[in-house]
Order: sequence, then structure tokens, then C-alpha cells
Amino acid sequence: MNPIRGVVFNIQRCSLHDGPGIRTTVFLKGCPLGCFWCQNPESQATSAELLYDRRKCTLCGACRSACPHGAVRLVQGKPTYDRTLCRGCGRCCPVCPNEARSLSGKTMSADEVLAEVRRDVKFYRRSGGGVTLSGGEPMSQPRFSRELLGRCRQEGLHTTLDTCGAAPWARLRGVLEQADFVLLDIKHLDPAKHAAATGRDNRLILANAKRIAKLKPLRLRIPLIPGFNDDAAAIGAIAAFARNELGGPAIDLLPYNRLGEIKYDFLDREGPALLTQTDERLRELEALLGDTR
Amino acid sequence: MAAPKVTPLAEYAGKSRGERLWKQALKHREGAKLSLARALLLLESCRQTEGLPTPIRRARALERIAEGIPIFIEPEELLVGAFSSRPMYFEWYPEYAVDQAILSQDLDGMLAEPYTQKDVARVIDYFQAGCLQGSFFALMDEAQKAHIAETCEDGAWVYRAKTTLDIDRGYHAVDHEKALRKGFLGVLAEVEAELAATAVVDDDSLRKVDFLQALAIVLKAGIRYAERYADLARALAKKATGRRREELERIAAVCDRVPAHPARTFPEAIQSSLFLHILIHLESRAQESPGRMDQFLYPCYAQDLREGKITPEQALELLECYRVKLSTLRLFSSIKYNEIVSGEAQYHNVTLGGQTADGRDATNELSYLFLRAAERTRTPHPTLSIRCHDRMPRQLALRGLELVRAGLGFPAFFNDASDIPWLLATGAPLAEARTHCISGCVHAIVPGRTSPFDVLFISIAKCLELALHNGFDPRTKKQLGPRTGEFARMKGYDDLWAAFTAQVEHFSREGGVLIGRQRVYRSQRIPALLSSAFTDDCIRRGKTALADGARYNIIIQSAVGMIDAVDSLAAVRRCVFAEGAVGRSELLEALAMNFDNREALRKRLLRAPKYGNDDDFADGIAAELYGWWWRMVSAIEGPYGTRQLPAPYSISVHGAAGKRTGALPSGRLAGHPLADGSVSPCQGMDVKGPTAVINSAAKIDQVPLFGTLLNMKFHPSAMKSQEDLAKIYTLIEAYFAEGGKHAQFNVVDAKTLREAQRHPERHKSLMVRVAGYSAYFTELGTNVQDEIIQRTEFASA
Repeated sequence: MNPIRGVVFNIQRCSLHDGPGIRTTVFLKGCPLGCFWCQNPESQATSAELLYDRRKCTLCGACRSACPHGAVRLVQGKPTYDRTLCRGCGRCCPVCPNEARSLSGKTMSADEVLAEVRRDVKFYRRSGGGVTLSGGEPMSQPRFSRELLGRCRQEGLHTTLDTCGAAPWARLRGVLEQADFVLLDIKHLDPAKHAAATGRDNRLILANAKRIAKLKPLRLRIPLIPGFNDDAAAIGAIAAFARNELGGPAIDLLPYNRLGEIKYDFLDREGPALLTQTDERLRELEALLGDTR
Repeated sequence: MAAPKVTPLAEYAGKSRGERLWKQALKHREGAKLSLARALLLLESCRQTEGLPTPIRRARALERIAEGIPIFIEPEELLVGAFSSRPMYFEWYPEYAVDQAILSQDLDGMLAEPYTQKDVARVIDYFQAGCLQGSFFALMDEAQKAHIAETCEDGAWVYRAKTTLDIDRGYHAVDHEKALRKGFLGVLAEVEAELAATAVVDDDSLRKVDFLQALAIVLKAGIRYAERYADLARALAKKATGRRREELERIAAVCDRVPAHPARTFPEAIQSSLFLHILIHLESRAQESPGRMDQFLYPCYAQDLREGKITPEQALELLECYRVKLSTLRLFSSIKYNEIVSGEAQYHNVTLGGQTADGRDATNELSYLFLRAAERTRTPHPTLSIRCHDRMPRQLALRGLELVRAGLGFPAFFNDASDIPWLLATGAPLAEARTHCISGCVHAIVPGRTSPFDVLFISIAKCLELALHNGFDPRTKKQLGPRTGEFARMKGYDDLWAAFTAQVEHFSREGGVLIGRQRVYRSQRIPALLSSAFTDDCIRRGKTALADGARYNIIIQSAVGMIDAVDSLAAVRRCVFAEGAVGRSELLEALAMNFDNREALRKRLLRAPKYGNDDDFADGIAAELYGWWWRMVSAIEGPYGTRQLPAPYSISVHGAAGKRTGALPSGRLAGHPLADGSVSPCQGMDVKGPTAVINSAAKIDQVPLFGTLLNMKFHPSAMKSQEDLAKIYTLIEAYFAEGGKHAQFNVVDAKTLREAQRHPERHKSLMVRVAGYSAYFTELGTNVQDEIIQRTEFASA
């Protein structure tokens, strides 16, 4: 039997803020939502994608001969990349002398991921940390997620699932069984606004939130998106929902940051133009959470 | 032991005495000049004592300085004594070096009144030929001198042997506990008893008598120095009123008592210890570490507290004054020396926590108060080191990390579980091993027992460059090393390893001999007296601490650019020998061109495994190289029956040596700084985060090494909450559980540093940690600044 394989776009060691203790966070590709602010745009599609940094490219054309799909062609004498022809095979990446091309998304077995995860076991043990599965959305690859978390647990590692909650309950429950702790994103309580900003309404997410709260220790995370939910009404509503429906879990406000903006350029996509909240605004919003932190 | 609750004295809330004194000192710093007070007193004394035995001449010189150097008490000061005749001024130590670099400096605008160029000329005239550096090299024939010029700092920078004589040797800690317990008079009695018991029957016993008489002179001179301060304080008290008058009267009473007599109170103890520290410096410009101050000051503190004589707030105020005092020491050095040490390195290391002689946790209230004093005054000195072990309160380490987060760059963290076994292996009994302190940057020594030491800094990266060129230095075009074979004809990695290790061993031996000679020469020409009076068993043996007087007699070699060599070996092994993707001649050609037009080749080399990423291929080479190196170094004999100890650390030598090292197979460009520290990754090469760096460093067997150095830099965002600090401490604990010896952190972002580089005037107070000490960033050399910026930021973005 072939082992289940997943598409991983990053393995981040020494994560300090993705659950308890020091953790290794495994980022899986694919997401059911399409949030307009997404800070990991390269995570949205499930398949591998090419990230192309034009700042580093010297137009040397080394990628042209490496590409089996003709995605780099000469246009007016200049090697030009055509994303519509790109299949994300990544053969152009190692030949690029300027490291302008890299592939987001690597197909890996749970064993391969575990080999990386095991390297920091001593840090997990001492800090009460472990492994966090994030994305994208881990539930885009439910079989792999379940397999990976299960294997981690077998080795005595603490597991955290970082999810947006937008997955059929039957599948989500299967993965949750292997998670010791859950980080759940709640973006907005208004279904229409949620749908407009993320491409899906939030009914499934909120229903799942209540189910998760009954099963697992939980921490809510609210990404603060300028003009979308960084106001008193939106945050107050989420805080009330958490208090009344979820048993009052801890809530983290994640201020917007622009660190992901450049990646839109790498994907030839238009990114959001948003600004980070001021400290003052953050303090006001924090105050709304009361003692939930 | 819990941290004492400290509420600021009401009248100093938010603005303590220490803060004010430091502000005042920084004002003095602006216009600080070169004072010739010490140099002229020295000159006067030396002229009068010509013909007398050297130790007596040195003792008379200190006596003349202690009695004659202008003294002052600043407004609000509670602790007195000074490293210079005026606050923050430089003093000159011409007996060590009057080299061209000093002479070429334009001293005109630098001279303090009333000194003139004529005075400078008198000093130069007397000391130029006879100074330590000058006379040492005068002993050599032209061929030897030429060889050193070609090989050392002025040439290829294979090792350092010239500026080593600019100053006295330090990395030493005297027995402050003994000074407090017996007083100078108690030690004087010891000296006199030894004198009485020594019959002059041969050369050795005559030398011993000279030495002991010299000790008696300096001990008395030290007492006289304190008496001058007692008189001054009394005179000032007469003119003062109210509270300040009382303070000055108390200062006078303390100076009447110490350092002559045993200290009875906390103010006496800290003043006595400060006097000893300053006097050692006035004598010999030594780089002394005060050592375990929270331990030797504690009995007086606890007693005063019990008897209601002092509050924690008052003790804190004295500790603040102490910090300001130690931060007023300026070093007047040659340009070349400054390039090597960078900033104002003073190696005044105060050790906190650790264990008692019987293995209990030694943390006490003073440990916390020292941290608090540093936090409040924000002075760069003395640097603080926390000794960590299983039974220590976690709180002490977390308080330390709070200081790191505040941008102080210290404390550094040290591992008892690695240092104690090392000390045992070098012959110290368990009780002494447990009471060690950190000296210099990272060295665990027994205070008052271990000798100071000379250091051979050797550039391992340069040795690799030589090995690739059959012993020839491509930059200076000289055949410097042995002919270890043409790289182009090497059949495999083992050939390169053999050639490389042969180069390292060749220069380790050559440099070791030279540094050993310097040590003997130094200890005979400028015997350090006062520090020897407080180092066992100098009095009994009648010898200085440097010349076989100390119980543990050591000399060290330090490897610089070890990790550059590791990354280079890994790249050659992978790209040239394993993959065959890079030709040998092709590589040499690219190195010669500094990778100009060879970017693709450089990229390929940069992609080869690099140390610091938890990659067994590269880390394995690091472990093997260190293992080979410490065994090789330990087998080399030193002067006075010592063996060379392997002590890898770099201060800022990695910047100076890097300037003179060509492009390397690791992908590093010519002239760039070498890796700092000794187990830190090359700048910017660690891309897998702090746990990977720690895993890499932990693969090196560090127990047999006399201090290692791991620098890590954290973005402030990784240290925001107390929870973050606890996690970061976990990193240290995990590293130490595997034998790591030392870890230190920087918390600044690259943006701030670049801004500081552009506008130094706006960032004068920005402090960074460079290999074992803190310095003002804007005072560092540009290439070290660049390197700090380049160091990977472990920002948890």
C-alpha cells in the first residue's frame, strides 16, 4: 500500500506562537476559503505553485531550457514566464542561479515530515510544546492530516490543529481525534460579510466551533483585518459568541501584518493594500475581550 | 531564594542616583581627553628607580601613581576611586607599547590641560625603546621580524602576535573574598611572614625576596590611595551641608577602614573590592573580572540587613554606583588594537548565581539586585554572566532575559554542567570547580587560583586558504605555510583534510611558541604585583600569577573562523569531491577572482550544507574539526610547564582577520568578517531557526573546550511576553542539557541597526553584544556593524 502523501509548503521549526511551548508547525497546502487578505496566498491552491521573484531575476534564461512545458518563452528576445502553461513541476528552480524561482508545495509522506519533526523533540519536552498542523487549511488534506497527527501522538508528541473550521463535521471530527489542542480562526459573525470577504458564509464554521469546544481545549484567533473586522462591533460579537456558546476560551487578536504582501507579486497576483492597526486601536480591541485572554 | 521586593527610594523614583551619575559621566565622555597624569608619574618614578630590581621598580611606580594621581569625588558619588585623573579621561600605559599607530594619531586636540606635546615627547623618548612591545621585538633578528610582519596582524593575519603586547594579560579574577576577609594589612602580614621565612641563599630566593618586598610596597600604596580619598571626602564634607555632608562623612569613614582592614559592612565591602579593582588597573591595565560579586559581598549584606543597617534599596544604590564606576574606564590604545577589540571591551565580568562549594544553589538577593542595577543604570559595564544549573531558580534566568529584552545585550548564560567537569579535568578539586567564575568573555576559572593567560588567536579560515594554495597566501603573495600539496592534484577530501590540519598545526605550534615567549617576557619585564598578592600561591612561591605563581597555570589558543573552515570544507567535500560538479582549478580561479563573474559557482557553493542548520553533513565536519583541534592544541607545551588550552572565542578578531582573508569555498567573499563566536553559524547561513542552530552546536563535544560562544539574535517580536521568555529559556536549557557551554542573545532588529549606521548621532545609546561583551553599536568598526546586521534574525514573524 502506498503511504498517504500530503502537499506541504513549509515546515517551521521553533514556532513560539502556534500553541503551547516550542513547536514545529507543518503548513499544508489548500484552503476552502479565499480570504481577500490571505497572508499565505501560496497556500490556497492544493497543488504546487511556482513563486517567481522578479527582483532577483536577471533574465539569463536558464529556466527556459529546463522547463518541459514551454512555460518560459522568448518574447522579444527576453525569457518570459507564462504562468498559464506552468504545471508547477519545479524543474526550473534548481537551475536558477539567482534563486529567483522556488516551488511552493512539496509532496511528502508522513514519515518524511516526522523525520523533520523529531529533530526538535527535546525542545518540545522541555517547553510543553509539540507539533502544530496549519496551512492553508489542514482540513483540505484530511487523510494526511489525520495520519500525520496520529503518528505524532504515537510518538508521544503533543498535537495542535490550527484550522479555519470550514470542513464537513464528519471529516473534521476524524482529524480532531488526533489533536490535543485546537487553534480556531473566527473571522466574523455576520454570515453575509463573512461570505463577501472569504468566499463562504460562516454557518458551518460556527457550528463546528461549538462542536469543537465540547471536545477539545480550544483557543480562538481573530485575524484583525482593516475595515473588515477591526471594529468594536465585530470583535465584541465574536467575544460574546465565545463566552456564550464556546465556554469562554482564550482569544488572541492577531494584528494585521504586511509580511505576506510580497508573495502576491511572486504569484503574479494582485495583493491587498492594507495597513497594520495602530497600537491604540489594538488596545481598544483588546479591552473588548475582557478576561478571555 | 526569591527576589527581594525593591521599591525605588521615593526621592529617586524613576531617576535613581546611578542613572544620574551615568548621565553625568556620559557628558564627561563627550569631551574626554588623554590625561598624562599616570604616564608622567610613571616616568618620574622610573627615572628615580633605575638600577633597582624590576619588581621593586614596578612597585615604586604604582606607589608614586597612587600617591600622586589627581583624585576627585563627583557630586552624589557614594563609591570613590577612579581609573583616571579626571572623569572619563584616558590614561596612557606607555610601558606596554609606544607603537607607530599611537605615534601617528593626532594627539593635538586630544591632550588634556595642562599637558603638552612636549610631555608626550618625554614619555615616548623614555619608553619607546624599552616598552614591552618594542623591546620584545628588538630581541628578534631581522628574519624573524620579517616573518612576523608577513604572518601576523600586519600581513596575512594567520595569527595574532603583535598587538598582544599592547596591554597586560587579563582573563583573571583575584580573590576578592580574601581581600574583604583579611584586608590589605592581613595580606601584608602574610607577605612579611613569608619574607621572614625566606633566607637569601641563591638566585631564586633573591628574586623571591625582591618580589615579596615589592608586594609589601604595593599593598601599602593601596592603603595610602584610600587614605587620600578619606582626606578628600572629609575636606569636601566640611564644605557640604545636610544629607550630602553625611554621605561624605560616611565615605571618609569607609575609606579610613578599607581596603586596609577587613570589611565589616556592605558599603565597606563594595568599596574595598572597588579599590582593589581600580588599583590593579592603575598598576597594570589588567583585564580583571570582579568574579562572583553576589557571593563575596553577601555575608556583609546579609549581616547589615539583619542588623537593620541597610535596606535593599540602599544596597541597590551602591550597586548602581559600582556599575557607573566600572563604566568610566577608558582605554587609550593603538588604532590596530582597537580594530581587534572594537568598542570599549573591558572584560569586567561579574558572575551571578551558580553553586556553593558544597553544591547548593548559590543564588541570593544580591544576584537579583545586580540585575536590577544594570536595568536601571543601563551602563555597559560590568557585563553580567549567569551560571545555570539544575537547581537554580528559573526566576533568575527569566529576570536575566528581561534585561536581554531591554536591549542590554547581557547577561550571558553559562552551563555549570559543562564547565564544572572541565575544571575537574584540568585538576581543580570539586569545591573550587563549583565556585568558579567567568573571566574575560567565556572562560570558567577559579578566582584567586587560576593564572591570567596569554592568548594565541589563530585564524583557522586563513589556514584553510593556505591549504588550498599549498601554503601560499594569495593576498600577500608569500609562501607562509608548509607546502602541503597542490589542491588541483588532491584525490579526495582526505587529502584536503590532511593539508588543512597540517597548516593549522604548523601555525598553532609556531604561534604557541611565540605567545609563550611573550608570556615569559611579560611576566619578567612587567610583573603584575597587586593581582599576584591576591592569587594563590604567589606569595608562598614568590612568583607572579603569570609566572608559575598561580595554582592553575594556564595559557590558551583561540580558533577564529573555525565555522568558516567547516562550511568551506563541507562545500568542497560536497561540490568538488562527492558530486564532481566543481573542478579544483575552477574553484581556485573563482576564489582568486572573489567570485567576480562566477556567481553561478558561488551560488552552488552557498547551497552546499552549512553548519547551523541541523544538517549532519556540515555539523559532522564541525564536530570532527573541533575534536581534532582540541586534542592537537592540548598536546602543545607552553611556558612554565603549562599546556595550551583550547579556548575558541573571537572577541572581534573575526572582523580584523576576515579583512585579510580571501574568498572561501563556503561562498564567503574576500574581506568579509569571519563567523563570530566559536560555535555560532556563519552570518546569515542559518536558515532553520534557533532550534536547528542549537542542535548543530550541541553536536560538538564542548566539555573539553575552555569556553565556547554561541550568539543568537532575536527579533523583539519573539520576546514580547513572559511566556516567550520562558520558551527562550527552554532553548538554553535544552542546549545546556547536551553540554553547550554558553549562550547569549541580541534583541535588535536590522532596521534599527541600519538606521543607526546612517545616523550614529541619533543612536549613541544603542548597545549590542559582540562576542562576550557589550559595546555601543555606533562605536564599532563598520564591518562589524555590517556583520551584526547580517546575522540572521530569528524573528517569529
